[in-house]
Amino acid sequence: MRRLVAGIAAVLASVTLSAQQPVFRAAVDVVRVDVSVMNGLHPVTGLAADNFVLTDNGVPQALSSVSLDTVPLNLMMVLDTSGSLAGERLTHLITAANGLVKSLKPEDTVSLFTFSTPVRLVVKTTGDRAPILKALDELVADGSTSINDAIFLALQHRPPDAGDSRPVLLLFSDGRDTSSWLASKHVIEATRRSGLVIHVIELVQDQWMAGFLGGMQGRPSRFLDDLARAGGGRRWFAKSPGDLRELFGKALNELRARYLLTYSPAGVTREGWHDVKVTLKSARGDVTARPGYFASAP
Amino acid sequence: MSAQSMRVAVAAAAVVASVSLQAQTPDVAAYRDAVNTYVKTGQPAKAVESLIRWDRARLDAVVKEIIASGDAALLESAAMLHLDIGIAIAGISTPASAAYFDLGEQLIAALVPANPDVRRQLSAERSAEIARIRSTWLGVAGSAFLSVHDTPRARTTVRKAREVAPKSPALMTILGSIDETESGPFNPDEVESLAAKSRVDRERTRLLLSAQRWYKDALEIEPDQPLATIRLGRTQFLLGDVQQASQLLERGRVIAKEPAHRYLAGMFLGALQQHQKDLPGARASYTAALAAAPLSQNAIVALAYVELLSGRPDQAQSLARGHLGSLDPDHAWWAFTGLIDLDGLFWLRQRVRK
Repeated sequence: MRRLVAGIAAVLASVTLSAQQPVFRAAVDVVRVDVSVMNGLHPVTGLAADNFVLTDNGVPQALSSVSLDTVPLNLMMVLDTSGSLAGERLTHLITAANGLVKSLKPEDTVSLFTFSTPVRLVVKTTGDRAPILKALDELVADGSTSINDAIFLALQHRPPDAGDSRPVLLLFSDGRDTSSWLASKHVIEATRRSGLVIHVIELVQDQWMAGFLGGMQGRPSRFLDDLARAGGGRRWFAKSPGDLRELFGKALNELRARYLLTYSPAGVTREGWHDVKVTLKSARGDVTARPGYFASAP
Repeated sequence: MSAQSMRVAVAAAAVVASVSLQAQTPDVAAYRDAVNTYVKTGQPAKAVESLIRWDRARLDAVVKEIIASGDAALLESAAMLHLDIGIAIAGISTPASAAYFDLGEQLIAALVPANPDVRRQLSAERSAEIARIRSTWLGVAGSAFLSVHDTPRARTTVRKAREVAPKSPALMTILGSIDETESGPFNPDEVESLAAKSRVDRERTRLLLSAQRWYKDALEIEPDQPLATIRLGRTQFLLGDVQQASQLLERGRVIAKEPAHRYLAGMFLGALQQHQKDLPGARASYTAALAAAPLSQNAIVALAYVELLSGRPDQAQSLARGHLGSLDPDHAWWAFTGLIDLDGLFWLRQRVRK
């Protein structure tokens, strides 16, 4: 008798739980997953929907579309202009960023953020290249480094509705954070919740704690590594300012060679974090994608 | 600071590094006029308009003549003009700011008569007054460097101030803030090996303990100093003593009168509450901080992040967009860090401005 009552109570509890936790309604909510597939240094092209296996919180999902380089980019450039960039480094950065902007397609849009101690939205999202190029030429390097706050503020500027574009954040920095309010872990959390893809270009000539930690000179930032992972993007290292132009070019090529997978989640509870895993079927390559997304209550 | 004032101040920043040949005017008279304009209007940018094309060599020559005059009122007023310009441009060009402070430091040091006979005739009261003016001036200049995170210049300048006033609680508080600021980049999460983590953590702790000592020393002399109370609370939090931190920050919030102090109390209390997962409390504290310093990037970021954690991403985005979208390009962000010694600055200003 006791076991029967307990069983009924469990059933009632699970029914109640289901009623309280709404699931996605089919064909209403769409999730877009930006995916890179590389074979070594080369992007793998020619993949179709049936080459991808995607699970959302462990539940396989049916892909409604797979596209490659057909969706315009909405590029958010976030550039470090702290004092350590002064001189030759800034010159190379401007050249590299100019090259990237000039290589964008006509339908792509771009915005420019800079940060030293303060974070500035220098040019709002635009399809016009002239204001961006002008702003780049006028960059000045001075002050300390608020990477964390810059990333957070830029994430909050992502378009509320991506529409027909692919929003991507490209971050450049040459150092560690020295003046932000937010800690690195806060930025990682904000990145997880944003749904934005983040790529990182790091100039690793960092003299951070050179005297203090001895052999720690020129080490890449662990935080930036975590950031790229959380943002489903890639990270490139420049060992000298002269490498920047090539790396900015590589970053753009990578952005073009990414697939955009879309699906309407089914069979999963809506609210909260969703682990997304993407693997290949009948194809080979290394897959890089955001580890998941965060869905808030409807 | 208005946008126009800032643009003029930016132009002044270029003066120090440039060499330009201009038609000569009686330079000392022009400089005196500029100082008088500053005293009458309280607007350093307006005062410096007439000196905008002067290079460093020209300013040096005039300052030497002003010093030679021995006119104490003029020395003090001129030093204040330099202090206010240096603060106005600190976040635009630290080297230019340092150059203005350097000249101002010469002027303020000249309040002590060079002639030993004259010096001996100063009353004890006047000697003490000069010492207070000099140490306060140097302390404010040091805190301006601190507000733009130039801790080496901040430390050098404040040490000079302490040679004049070793028992000043205001200077002790600034030195504590310098240590606290320098501890910031030492983040064990940024390094891989256990050995490196240990070293980084030790250095961070060393700096925070040093900051703690400075704040406690300041409070022994002046127990109701709001800034030292608030900063000690912050340091205790960073060292892991949340209970002590909470008591100090609550007390600091109650006794804070100046907006800069209310801002800091709100920010640090908010951080503590966020750590304790009290998001409504953190939101209220950060909102109070933002009310005290509406243009503070830190306050915007802190509040927006709490909104994100609270499941209000639209609010977070709205705050961030509102902040970045409305910023004047001349925005003097360093004035809103809570690090400039405003008590000292106001005291000095009210001495010279009519």
